[in-house]
This record gives sequence, structure tokens and C-alpha cells, in this order.
Amino acid sequence: MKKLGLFLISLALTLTLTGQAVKAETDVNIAVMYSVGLESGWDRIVIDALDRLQASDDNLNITYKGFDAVYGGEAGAVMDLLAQSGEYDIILSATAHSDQIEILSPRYPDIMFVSLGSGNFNTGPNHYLLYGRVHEAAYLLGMLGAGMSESGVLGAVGSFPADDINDQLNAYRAGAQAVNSEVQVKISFIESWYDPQLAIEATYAQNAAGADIIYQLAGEVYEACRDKNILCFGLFEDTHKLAPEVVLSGTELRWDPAFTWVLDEWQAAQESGSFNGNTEAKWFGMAYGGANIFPYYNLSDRVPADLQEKIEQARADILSGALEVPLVLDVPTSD
Amino acid sequence: MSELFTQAILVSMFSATVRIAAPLLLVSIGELVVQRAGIWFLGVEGSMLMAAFTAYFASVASSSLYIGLLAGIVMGIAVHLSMAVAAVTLKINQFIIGLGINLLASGLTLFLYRESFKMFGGEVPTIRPFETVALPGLSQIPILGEILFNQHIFTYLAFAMVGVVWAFLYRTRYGLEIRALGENPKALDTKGLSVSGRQYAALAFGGTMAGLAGAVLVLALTDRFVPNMTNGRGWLAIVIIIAGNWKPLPILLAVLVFAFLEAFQLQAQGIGFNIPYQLLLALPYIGAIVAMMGLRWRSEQPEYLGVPYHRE
Repeated sequence: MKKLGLFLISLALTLTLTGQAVKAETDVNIAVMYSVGLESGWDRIVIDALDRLQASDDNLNITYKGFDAVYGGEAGAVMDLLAQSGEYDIILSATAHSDQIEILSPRYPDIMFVSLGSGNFNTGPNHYLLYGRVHEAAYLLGMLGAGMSESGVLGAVGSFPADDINDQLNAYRAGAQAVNSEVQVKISFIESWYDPQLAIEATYAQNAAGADIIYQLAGEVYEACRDKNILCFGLFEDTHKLAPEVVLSGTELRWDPAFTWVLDEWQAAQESGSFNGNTEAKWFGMAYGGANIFPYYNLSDRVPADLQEKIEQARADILSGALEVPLVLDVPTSD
Repeated sequence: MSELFTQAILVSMFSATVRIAAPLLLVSIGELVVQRAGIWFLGVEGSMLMAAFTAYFASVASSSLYIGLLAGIVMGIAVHLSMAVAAVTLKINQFIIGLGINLLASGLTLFLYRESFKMFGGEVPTIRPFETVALPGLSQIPILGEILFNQHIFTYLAFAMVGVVWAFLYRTRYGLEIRALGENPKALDTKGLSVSGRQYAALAFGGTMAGLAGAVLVLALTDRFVPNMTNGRGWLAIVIIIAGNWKPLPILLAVLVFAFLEAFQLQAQGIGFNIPYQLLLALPYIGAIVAMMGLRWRSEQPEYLGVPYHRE
């Protein structure tokens, strides 16, 4: 009987130690809650950044799994199950799930919750907020547009006036005015994520109002640009190949520095035993490699050399800190 | 304000009105026939959405816009006929089936779209949509030519169908029978005419039009499918039928008013009107509600609309 007792104790100890050995402190498993799905550029750039980090990070063994976009109580239930499973160290939401995380973060203090984009708020020490600010890149697009426009009128079609859209539109206007103080910027919101026909009609409407270069922030919608033979800019990911004859450039959002910071915070918390979540959303701009503009590809010849130089100079000034692009969140309207 | 009245802006705004009107008109005029036959089909949004996805998938897979168009129409008919089986043959509550079809379509198209996305190698394929067709001679007329006669073939078809459906409903015996179905199906049955056969036919026609409307959204007015891209247009068709008091010409008017308000708000935002754009976005819906309120006192709603017919 005594032998059996000793055997059971040693078995329990072995199992416990083995259990701990399975999960090293350098293993981090991330559950990604999509905002739409992988057909959306916003979600794809999250996965692209995780793939790059997975390949490049020597300190951490990063694994992740994506989960379908759900909202409200359903999202809360899904994240609860993910947390309960004990498989995930980080639950990363690509959308506004803070209402649900507010309930879950105190219940699972050892799990790190990360929220991307606008519409989120901090809910506790284990909740981290990130913004994908590309306003500096939008500033450069504004310069490019104003330098290329023959009419002196630029356009921009947005989905909703969220503050991480407004920052871009205001910077786009500021960049345009830096090249041509007389430039006008036309701005429309279609108030929908899902309506390419409305986005196309808004583009036609801006073109009729004189805009000959249009920034497309309401989906990768280039049909009106093709039809009217005007140049357009894309948002967040490289959409040049969708319409190579009209997509001149676009803002690039790279989550890499933001995710690296989050992973550093996670590792620090493993050592210290406590998280230190941020109340002000953190963002990493061009100087950190978090944003850029895409190459002009086959349309490069159409961009005058002096304008290209001017933009390169502005980019260098942003990187060095000599030029600080103002972060303005007010809802912009057309000039 | 004066900026709004320049020729370029007016032409753009009225051209947009005609483009926005086209899918709404197709689906509304199809549903008019369905409702005149006594079937209240709330699933028209779902039918359009299924057709839009099918048209997209088939056109990408076959590299043919025409196959996409045909597939979209066939899907519209199939969804409408599933309503026929449930509502006409099985006599299940029409509202429940319609709502069920909408929910199913929303989830199913999203699922299938995700699957197709994997199938296309993680890329979002776009299509080269149908080009506009400038009608010879007519498109040269100053201003009006650009607005009315430089549109997609489906736009001309949509407007032509208003006249066709009007002539069918009010100038043919079959049209009279369809209208009688909504008012008094027993009268037809007593004469030995098939109630269910005509309701199936009416739904097949509604499905053709809804399928066409869904396909047009993808193949002519944009260049891709986006989940839930019908964005309430099917629901709006139902509102338009009520606002148009179940008559073809007032329905055309209701569609045009709605489309104009939508085009106006887009143009006004583009110009930079100093009024809140949210108000402009709400204008079309306010217009529809006002129209409905104004028409309640002389409603032409079919007497047996939504009531399953049982032979006593």
C-alpha cells in the first residue's frame, strides 16, 4: 500500500513536470478573431504579419489559428471557449470586441487580449490596444495626388468616418496642400462595408465634381477608375494587380512592429507575472516600418521625376523625424 | 449649391440615378407579379444574393459573363421555386419561409464565398464587367443621350420590362388571371383554372427578375462579389412595391425617386454640401416612408396577398 502511494505521488509529479515541459515559455499560441474573413484585406494583413514574424522571430515559437468573424454575444461565447480551452496565450481580435473582452479579461488574467483598430477601449491589465495608423503614408499619397492631378481636385471615398479613416483623410489633404496650396479634396462616406456599387457611384460623383485622382478607402473598387481612366489609390494592402492600369499606389499597413511589441510585452509578463495593458492605443508609424506607400510599378513613368524626389524627401523627413504629419481625427468634409 | 447645377454634375447625378435604378427596377417589377399572384415573398433579398454569388462564381469559373448571367438567373428561379413548393404546395406560412430564405442565403453565400476564395488560391478574383452600350443616334443627343442612352443593356431591359409587365397585367387574359389570384383565387379555381400552376409561374418570373438583378449587380455594376452585397436592395423592392401601390408605373416612379435621392446624396457629398451627410443618406428611406404613408388610404394591396389558398 505504501509502495502504491509512493508510485501515485511520483506519477503525479512526473505528469505535472511533463505538462510544464510541453509548454515552454517561448511557445506562444495566438487565436485570431477575424473582422470579416481572409477575403478582407484588413484581416489578410494581420495574417501576413504573423507569417513574417513566425519566420523571422528567433526567440519565440509563434503559432496561430484564425476564427470566423462573429460579433456581440456570439463573439463573447467564442472567445470564452478559446480561453477555456487553455490552448491560447493571446486572443487577438481584428475588430471591436472590447465589450466582450471587458467580461473575459478579468476572468482569464493569464491570457493576453489584443484589440486592433478603432472602437476599442482598455478593459484591464491583460488587454492591449493597437492602432493601424497609416496617416503618414496617406500624407505622401496626398502629395503624389496633388502633384499628378490636372484638375487640382482630389477625391477620397470612405466607408465609415472611423477615427483610423479620418486620420488618413485629413493627412491626405495636408499632404496635397503641401504640394499645391490651391488643391481641393472631395470626400464621401458610403456608410457601408459591403456596397461596391455605392462606392463606384461615389467615385463617379467625385469625378464629375472634378476629382481626377481618387483614394479608395471603401473596398478595392476600381471599376469607375477604369471607366473614367483616372488614377486611384488603394488602402492597407497592395491592390495594384487588381487594376494595374489605374492603381498608382496605396497606403501600406504592416502590423509587424506592433505585433513585435505585443509579443515583447507577453514575454515580459511571463517573467514578471503581470501584464501591463495600455489605455491609449499604440501605433507604429513609418519610422518603425509600420506603414509605407506601395511602389508605382508600371505607372512610374507617369510620375514626374521631381515629384518622385519630393515624395522621397518627405518620406526621408518622416523617417528622420524632421517632418511630423499631424494626426487629426476630426470627420473631414469636401472642400 | 450652384455647383450642383453645372452640366457635368447634373449629367453625372442623373446617369447615376438610372444606374442605381436598374437592379431595383428589375427586382421590384418581378416581385410585383409575384405579389399580384397573392404570394408575399419576403425572401427576395436572399434570392438576389444567391443569384449574385452564383453569377460571380460561374463567371469566374467559366471565364464567361454570359454563363455567369445565365447561372444567376437559374439560381433566382430556383430560390423562388423553393418558395413555391413551400408556400403554394405545402402551404407553409409565407413570412416564415421568406425570412428563412434570407437567413439561409446570407449564411450560405458567405460560406460558399469563403470556400471559393480557397479554391481561387486565396485571391479575390475580379471580373471584367459588361460594357455600357451607347444606342446609335440616341446617345448623341446632348445631355439626355449621356444620361439615358449610354447605359448597360440590362438598364434598358429594366425600363422596358415596366411596360411589358404593365401590358401583361392589364391587357392580357393571363395578366387578369394573375391579378385575380391575388384578389380572389377561388374564382379561378371555380372556373377550373389552376391556382398553384399560375402561382408557380408567377414565382418563376419573379425569380428570373431577381436573378437578373443579382447578376447585374456583380456582372455589370461592379466587378466582384462581396458578402451581403445586395445590402437591403431586396427589402427595398418590397418597400417600393408598397410605396408604388402594387402598380407598375407608380413603382417605376418610386424606384426613380429612391435612386435619385441616393445619387443626390452621393453627389452632394462629393461637392461638399454644408449639411450633415447622414441626413442625405437617410433621405431615400424617409422618402419611401412618406410615400407609403401617403398611399395608405387608397391601397391597392391584393386582398389575398400572403394568404395560402385552400380548396374548401
